Amino acid sequence: MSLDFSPGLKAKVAFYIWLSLFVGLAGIFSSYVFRGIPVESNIMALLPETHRDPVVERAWDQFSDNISKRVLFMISGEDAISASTELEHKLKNTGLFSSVLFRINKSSEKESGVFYLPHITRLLSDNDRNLLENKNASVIYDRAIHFFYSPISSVHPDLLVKDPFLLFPEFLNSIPRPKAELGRNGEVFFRDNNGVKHYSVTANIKGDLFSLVEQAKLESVLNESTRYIESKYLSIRILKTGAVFYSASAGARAKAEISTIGVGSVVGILLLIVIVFRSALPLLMSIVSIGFGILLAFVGTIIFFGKIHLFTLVFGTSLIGVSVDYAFHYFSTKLEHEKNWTGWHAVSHILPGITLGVITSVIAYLALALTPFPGLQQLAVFSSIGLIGAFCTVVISFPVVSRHCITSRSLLLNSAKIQLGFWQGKIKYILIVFVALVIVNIAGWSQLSVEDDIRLLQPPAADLKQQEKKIREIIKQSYTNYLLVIQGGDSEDVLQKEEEVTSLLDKMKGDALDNYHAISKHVPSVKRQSDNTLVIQEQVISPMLNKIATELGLMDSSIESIREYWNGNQPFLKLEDWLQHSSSKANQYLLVGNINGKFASIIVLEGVKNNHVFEQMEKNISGITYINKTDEVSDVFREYRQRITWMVVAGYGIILLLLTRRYSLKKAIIVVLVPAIAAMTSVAMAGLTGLPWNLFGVLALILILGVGIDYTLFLAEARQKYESTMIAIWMSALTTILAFGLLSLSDTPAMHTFGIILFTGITIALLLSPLVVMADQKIKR
Amino acid sequence: MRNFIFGVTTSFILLFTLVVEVHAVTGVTQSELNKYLVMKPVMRGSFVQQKKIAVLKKPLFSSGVFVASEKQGLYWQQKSPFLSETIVTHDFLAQRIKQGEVNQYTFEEQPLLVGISRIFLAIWKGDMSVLNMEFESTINFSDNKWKMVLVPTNKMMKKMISKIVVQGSEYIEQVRLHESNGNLTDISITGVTGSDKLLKNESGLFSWP
Repeated sequence: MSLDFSPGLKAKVAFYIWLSLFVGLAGIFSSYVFRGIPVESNIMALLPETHRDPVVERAWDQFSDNISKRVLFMISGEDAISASTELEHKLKNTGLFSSVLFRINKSSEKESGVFYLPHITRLLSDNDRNLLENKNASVIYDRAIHFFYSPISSVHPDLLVKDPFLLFPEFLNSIPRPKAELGRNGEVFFRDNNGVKHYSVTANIKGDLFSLVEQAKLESVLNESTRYIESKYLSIRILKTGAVFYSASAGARAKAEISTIGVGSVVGILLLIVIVFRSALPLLMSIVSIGFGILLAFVGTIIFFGKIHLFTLVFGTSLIGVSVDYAFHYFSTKLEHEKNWTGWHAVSHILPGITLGVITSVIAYLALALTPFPGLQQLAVFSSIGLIGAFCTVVISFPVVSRHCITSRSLLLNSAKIQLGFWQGKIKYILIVFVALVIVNIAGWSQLSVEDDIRLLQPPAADLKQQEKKIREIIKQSYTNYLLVIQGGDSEDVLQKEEEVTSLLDKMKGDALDNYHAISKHVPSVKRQSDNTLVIQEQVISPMLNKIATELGLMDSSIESIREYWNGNQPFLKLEDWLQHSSSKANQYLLVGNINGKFASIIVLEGVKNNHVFEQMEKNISGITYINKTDEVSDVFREYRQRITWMVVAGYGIILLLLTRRYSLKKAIIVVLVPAIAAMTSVAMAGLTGLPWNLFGVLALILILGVGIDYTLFLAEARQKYESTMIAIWMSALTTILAFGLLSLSDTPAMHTFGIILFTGITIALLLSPLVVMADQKIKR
Repeated sequence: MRNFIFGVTTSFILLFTLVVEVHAVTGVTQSELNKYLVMKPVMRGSFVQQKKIAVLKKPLFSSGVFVASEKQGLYWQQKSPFLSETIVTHDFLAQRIKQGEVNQYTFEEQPLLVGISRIFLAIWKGDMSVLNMEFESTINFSDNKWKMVLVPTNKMMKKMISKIVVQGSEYIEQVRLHESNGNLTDISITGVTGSDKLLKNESGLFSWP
């Protein structure tokens, strides 16, 4: 053991190249930070290109922007009006809202009547159109006559001489309206099922709400205002809802989790490294190697893809974190070689193991790049580059920097010895372990349930959900997360298509959906308008005008003016005019407008109960797209879960093939088998504990493969130095568990699953890893 | 991403419509009116109605019977010139013509129409608590007769009704509704009788909506 690995010139040159590269990368990275990191956070960017249509995306963005900026308060109780008024003023004064609404100008109803008035001959309610289509004009006649005689009806003489069949009031009544009522001074309120009045204050947040800081600030302003109002008016009750409350609550929860779980794991890792190595240097060096890896990966990914996805950053960083093992192996060699130890010696000792470790991990990660999903390709590139960067750092810079540093023996030595002893001991006990593993696997896999739901990413917010549910009951509105995007050449084309669709939707109301909102209910297409005029003339005015005139005793001059009015060419109601009018304000979000020479609108579907009907509709009618964002994202999760599962399986296969070139088939199988058993058993644990299986569990499987295979590989390459290698493996496993396993304490289902699976898998891989040693010894015997 | 997830959970589309909220002012008290007016749980009688609309050559005449029940609302049956039935309750308005299709409107669907119906119902019940919320009421007595004038206080109501004049003695005898657009509805009531509950042949009248 007197090999002298002294730093040659080449090594020194390599070190300075590495150092200048590090400085260069740090420079590039800080310039990105300065200019703004091109981070993509849209989950749809993870999908292959063909899935996305820019018009559809724009339509969705417009819709979600409209609803995510809205905040709604419902105030009930004796002083509700004063309280609402004060809340309205308080919110207005913050300057954080583009609009705050509590009172409505009462004349707006009349205005909308006045607005439609010039187009009487062009408008017809859906109900009346159906009557005329079914040749039931007599119903309209009877209804009008009844109305004239009714003690509780009022017919304006001016309207009578234009529209004696009262089709226009029917149309006005058919325009969709919400269930709100207006108070004496225009206060907006809703009545719940017990008749209790809830006054509503709605606010729209000004600007974009991307940063957590802004969201938290806004939420605290909102909460402060409500608390103030509640303390001033003791009799009132305030219900509130809005995306900002959910995101602020999620942000606060994430913060709390980071400060407990995050701080816990950082402190744990620091303590572990310092206790085992009795030195801060291994820690610093590990940080340097991971830091270099991440910088290289970051810059490389941006050069390669132009930008980086949040998903890549989060999971890629943890995949690179795996490289901390290389540092542990490097420093553990010191534990067995007190004297004569040099950095160069350590590198030469661990080089075969960690080289194989890098190659197998990169294979595991690159398997992801073979999928057609841009998100996975990016993740693969990012983690592979990062891992290689960290590897180079260990090999090139560690021996230069840490020549003489640590001197201690380890606490973990005993546990390593006991563990190695077990696997070299009686075969009977080893068999018991395997039988137990088989039972756990059979029991667990048979109970595994899959759940690819977007809500996995959502932390629980029971109080907010309760309030939202109550508010929905009061305003009698179901969830509106479903859209139909209607595309066409121009606005007329789109309105006509909408009419085709809404006639189908009308038939499905109360069945496949509760309700819908469409612009064509406010502005019929020009074609529909001219059809209306025709059908009314043919079936109502021509055959029945004289009859009704006689029955009512209409003056002769009036009969003539009615006939002329209907023969005349009355103006069409135009979409542009409607958009200019104040009554359209609340519905303008339904219009997407011109995009790339196409015109588009959205139909918002409320309370969808049957997706299939709308998927079918999408197939049958050209130019319409059904958006079910909840399912769509869940589909992304499902596809990713399935793809990655196959890639992980393929990864095991490729690594096995590769290893047979270096090891005997039996040894190669054992090296691969340990992480494979660990992965299988961790999935089984999910089944046993009732944890739903999803993408985030599968992502943990990649880590189990990448990390777990290192354990067996290092032991296989340990050249009889099993104890020091085992200590490094313990260090690696404990840090991985501290870093990611603690996520199992998270309230967010996705993080929870990831943590549990990783914890189980790593623990089992750690405990089973000496199997390789057993194989080695059997071979020797 | 964040915006998206929460966008999914919370989405409200609010529009507003117009309903007149009621608010009490002082006026004729219930006991003042009841000095003369006899209120029984169920009252019935015949009516003759004439409606004057500006552009019509002559008023529209109609006649029929009514049953006003404290519990079940007002049943209004027009027999001439054609058969039509109307039921007015606090919550809904139902109509049917010639025993045909039933049209029913709830307050939520047709707040304006049902809101007006509520006032009509209150007149037949002599319910001052409802009437005083919408109108400034004054009453004159001579002999055993009374005449009450109701003038809307609310802007929206003023746009539709200029005044309502109700006359009677023991029972209501005439209701005159002056609309702001010049229309006039004049209802004369005769043969009113009261009872504590619906008669056998009347119980079916309220069952069709």
